[in-house]
Amino acid sequence: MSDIKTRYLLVGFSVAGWWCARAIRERDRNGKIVALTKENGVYSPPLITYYLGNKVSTIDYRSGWMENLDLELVPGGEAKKLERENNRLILASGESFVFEKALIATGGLPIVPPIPGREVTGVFTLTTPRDMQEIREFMKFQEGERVTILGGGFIGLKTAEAFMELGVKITLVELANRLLQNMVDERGSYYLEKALERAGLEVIKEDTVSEFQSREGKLSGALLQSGKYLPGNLAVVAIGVHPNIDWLQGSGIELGRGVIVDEFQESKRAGIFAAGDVAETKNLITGERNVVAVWPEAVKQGKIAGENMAGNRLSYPGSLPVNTVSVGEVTLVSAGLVNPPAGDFEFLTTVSDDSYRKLVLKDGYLVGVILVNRIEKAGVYINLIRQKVKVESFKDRLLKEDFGMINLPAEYRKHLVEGASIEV
Amino acid sequence: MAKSLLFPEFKVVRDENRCIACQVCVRQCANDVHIYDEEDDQVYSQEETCVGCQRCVTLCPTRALEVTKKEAGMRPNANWSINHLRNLYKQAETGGVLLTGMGCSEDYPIYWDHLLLNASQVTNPSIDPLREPIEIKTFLGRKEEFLDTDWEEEPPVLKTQLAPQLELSVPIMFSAMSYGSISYNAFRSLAEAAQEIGTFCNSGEGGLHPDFYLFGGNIIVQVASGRFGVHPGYLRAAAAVEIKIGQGAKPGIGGHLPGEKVSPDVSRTRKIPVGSDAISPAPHHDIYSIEDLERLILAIKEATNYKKPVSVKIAAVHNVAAIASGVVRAGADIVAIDGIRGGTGAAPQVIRDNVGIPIELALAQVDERLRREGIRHRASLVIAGGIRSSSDIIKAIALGADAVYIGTAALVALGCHLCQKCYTGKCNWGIATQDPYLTKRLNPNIGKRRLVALLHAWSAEIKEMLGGMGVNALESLRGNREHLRAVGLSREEREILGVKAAGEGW
Amino acid sequence: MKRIRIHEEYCIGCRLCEINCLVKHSRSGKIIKAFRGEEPRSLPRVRVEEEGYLSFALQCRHCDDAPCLENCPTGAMYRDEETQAVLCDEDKCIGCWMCIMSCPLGVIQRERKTKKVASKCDLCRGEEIPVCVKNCPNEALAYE
Ligand SMILES: Cc1cc2nc3c(=O)[nH]c(=O)nc-3n(C[C@H](O)[C@H](O)[C@H](O)COP(=O)(O)OP(=O)(O)OC[C@H]3O[C@@H](n4cnc5c(N)ncnc54)[C@H](O)[C@@H]3O)c2cc1C
Ligand code: SF4
Ligand code: SF4
Ligand code: SF4
Ligand code: SF4
Repeated sequence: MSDIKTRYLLVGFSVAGWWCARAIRERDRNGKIVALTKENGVYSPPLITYYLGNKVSTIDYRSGWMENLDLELVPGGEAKKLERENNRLILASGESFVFEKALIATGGLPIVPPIPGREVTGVFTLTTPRDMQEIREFMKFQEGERVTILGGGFIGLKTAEAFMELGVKITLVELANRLLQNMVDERGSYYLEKALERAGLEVIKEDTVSEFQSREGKLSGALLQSGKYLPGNLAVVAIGVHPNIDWLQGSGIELGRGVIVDEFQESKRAGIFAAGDVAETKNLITGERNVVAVWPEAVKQGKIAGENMAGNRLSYPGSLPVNTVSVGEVTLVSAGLVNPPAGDFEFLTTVSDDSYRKLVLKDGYLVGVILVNRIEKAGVYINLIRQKVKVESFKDRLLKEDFGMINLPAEYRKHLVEGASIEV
Repeated sequence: MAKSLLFPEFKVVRDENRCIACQVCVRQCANDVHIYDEEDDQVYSQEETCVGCQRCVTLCPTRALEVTKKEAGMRPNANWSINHLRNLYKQAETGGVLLTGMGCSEDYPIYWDHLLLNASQVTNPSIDPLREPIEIKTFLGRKEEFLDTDWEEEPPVLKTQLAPQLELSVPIMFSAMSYGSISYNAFRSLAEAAQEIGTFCNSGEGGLHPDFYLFGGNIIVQVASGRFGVHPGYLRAAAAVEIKIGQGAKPGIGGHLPGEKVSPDVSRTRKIPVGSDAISPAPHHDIYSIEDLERLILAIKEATNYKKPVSVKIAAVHNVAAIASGVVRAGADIVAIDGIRGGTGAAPQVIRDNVGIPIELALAQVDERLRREGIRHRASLVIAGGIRSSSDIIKAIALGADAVYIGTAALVALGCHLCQKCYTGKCNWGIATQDPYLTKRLNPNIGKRRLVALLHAWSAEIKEMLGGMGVNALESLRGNREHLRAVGLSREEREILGVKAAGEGW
Repeated sequence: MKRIRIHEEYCIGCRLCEINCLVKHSRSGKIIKAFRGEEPRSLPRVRVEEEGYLSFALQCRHCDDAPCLENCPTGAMYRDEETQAVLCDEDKCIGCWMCIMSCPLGVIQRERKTKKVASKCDLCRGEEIPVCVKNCPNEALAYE
């Protein structure tokens, strides 16, 4: 088969890929763009759990800004190998592409630990449309009365939220002594766990599944490390995702936990960029390299990569973990450093029966925020973190009832309010 | 403390069917009349402190409010009016001089309303201002007795050196209202409007805020007995200098800016400490005669290189004609006369309402006297004190004025509702206050626009009236009392005004 | 695009902008009914912030690179072709609050029960002059 030539090749066409394409198009109207995706359409990953929970009728992502991107989408185009010496990529189908610039945006894959019995029917993961379809199919025939969810982190909770909508009895198993330990602090977990309890969820902490037991190849129950046994024919392993980089072995791209990129989102191989859940970047606050697998960072990194692929030289200030979860009656927002190591950190908090807000400060700057239920000003705090605005002089007002833009330094406020656009 | 016998002056009527408890009134009233009760989710009012400024009524989005004069339930008494009773109670309680703001509100005759204008019929054609130009431009300053011209040259050359003049595109100026008595935004509105229209505003006795030096070409600066903010730069920045001897609202007494209105910015402008009362003495302590005045006029002319007209402002008092004559002889280029209805930011009520004479009579007498003495040309006459409309202005011109000052009318255009509480510093309309919460209420862009609109409207009306009389230049009307006739006036009043009775022909 | 400009030096904190915005987005569109007859009362999309002598009315800036739109996973947040306003399609909105987390001005409000974006300025959808601007007594808001 002969090579297909393209100026830009996007390997993976999801959040990071979309915004990369859009950024390229703003600078280069005509350069050919080819986008590969393993799936069949353009979908929004977060909608997977909502679709399962019957809260949306499609997971397709469509928005006005995506029109006129003028690119060639290759559905089912799974990349298999990137040649070490050439800018040449070979698909599982055998097709090959020769490119000038490429973006690696293959996202993440669910982590499934080697638990005995993990391959039996009834044990699933839930991060792709295929997973979701399989669970749906499964539930059509099997009265799923109880689902065991392994993992009390973000994906575990999203999964739990979906099953709550379906009226299934849920048991959440978490190894740590509290839920959502990466996103919130102990008090935050407490509010979450209380809300789950009120919603009728069973939470088992400091325990994990040691074996999925089956009868005739079908799940019959999960045996926990503690010896506890959870009968049931449905389980979801939701302990997280890791960057989808195995296919890059031998390509000469430097790999850590993910694809290692510099501040221009460029990998060690010139002209090959990476963005989104697959990329390993510097953390905005700590400077440590890590993978921050959230949507907003995928957008930002994708845009930076696209700009740079099309000839610009923009740098990415660093990744900021930001996320929000709503389950039952509780809504949480978390950003930045929420469980800082010992050191000179200052904490501002307000606590009430149904809300909790905590700000983490260092050297007069905001570096982390946890909000439980009172989340309306979340974006204001997060932007203060992103823009590295010194908050020392008005920190006493940050948690006031009516805190708002008015409390911010005049120049910053005016920049935001008057300036038509907000910096990426 | 015993309960006050004073009864509320105003009644706040809230239509409960319309009130939505949005609390606009609560936020807008600087007198704390409206109170929101969270428990009841209702707004209530306490009328005691209401001054009737109508701010809440104007802003209420459902028109649920009405503020009206409260009828006192006492037996009507022509002698002991409610106003007298109120003042008696107040003074028996406070033991103090009663202060007030704005101009005299007593029911003295308003002669403008007894004067009627003429119009052309058959024997002389009237002019359509939309088809033919009508000139209302006005020059203020000393005019020459005769002009020495070299007719030999081509074109001929004027040899006489003309005295400095103020050129006004309309015969209307904004009268002296100091920054301090009015807000920064109010002053800014006046200055910007004056500049746009091509006329002048007056700094009053409060000095000039640095920002307003920019408008110097359209500002007359005042030198008053307190000499606040007066320095060479101040005199040089202005288009003309006015020595303030008296003010119609309070002839014979000095000025008083309460400490509440002396904000940091006002203090810098006036060069006095923040929060201290700014007291202007009753007389200038260096002027006890016409000769003393002459020296000050000369000093100012010297300081400004004889480039700027000097005006002298006096209140209309009984002997005004003789005083004006002296002022002209002392070298004033402009004499400004302020009548009994002239406004103020603060004055004792008893003075405001009882001292001085109506401007119409003063004007007629001064013009008459200066003509008789052959010195009318040596100074322009500007009159002030209760000018309310373009017809007042045109009548004033016919009576002999060169131009008028408007104060109250300008403030009303800016939103003033004549509550007369200027002296409290709590003007709800953001005009006569320095409270930063209140001053914001006057957006100078809106203020300027409204003033400019007002002057445009009045100019158009003046032109209409002139056209109707068959006069194509305001100059031709000046002092031409044949264009006026009096109705409902006694023979004496007509004589003083120099105006024939309505019905008399030429 | 035309945007609402804020002139904070002239904002007098009267909140007529809030009141009129609420009415505009009420069911009846009539002021007295919107306040006294409609439960729950609709929400204003503009909020007056106040501190000391300073106040201003803040509503969505309809940012060029609107983070709320970029981060909305459903495409509910979209840009109107005609007016360039950033609008929320309530049918699509799932109440994930990614937009709230992204808006640097904090001008999006949520409806907890229905889990939808409850209030976000829509530039009064097609009004020639937005009602907050039109009803500001002091021109502290301008549409230009
Ligand atoms: C269920 C779920 C809920 C989520 N909820 C939130 C949330 O609420 N908030 C939040 O911030 N983030 C959330 N996330 C994370 C968020 O979706 C990701 O951060 C974001 O999608 C990352 O985008 P990406 O483009 O990097 O990769 P992905 O979205 O993972 O997309 C990967 C793309 O690569 C393609 N691909 C993979 N392998 C290959 C290959 N070999 N060849 C070609 N193409 C390939 C895939 O087809 C896909 O197009 C959620 C994720 C999931 C799964
Ligand atoms: S209507 Fe205007 S002045 Fe009143 S609060 Fe709103 S922006 Fe401020
Ligand atoms: S909601 Fe916030 S982020 Fe979105 S366009 Fe408006 S101001 Fe910008
Ligand atoms: S809450 Fe609604 S509008 Fe906001 S990001 Fe989520 S889906 Fe989009
Ligand atoms: S433009 Fe309309 S929707 Fe937006 S804040 Fe103003 S009144 Fe409300």
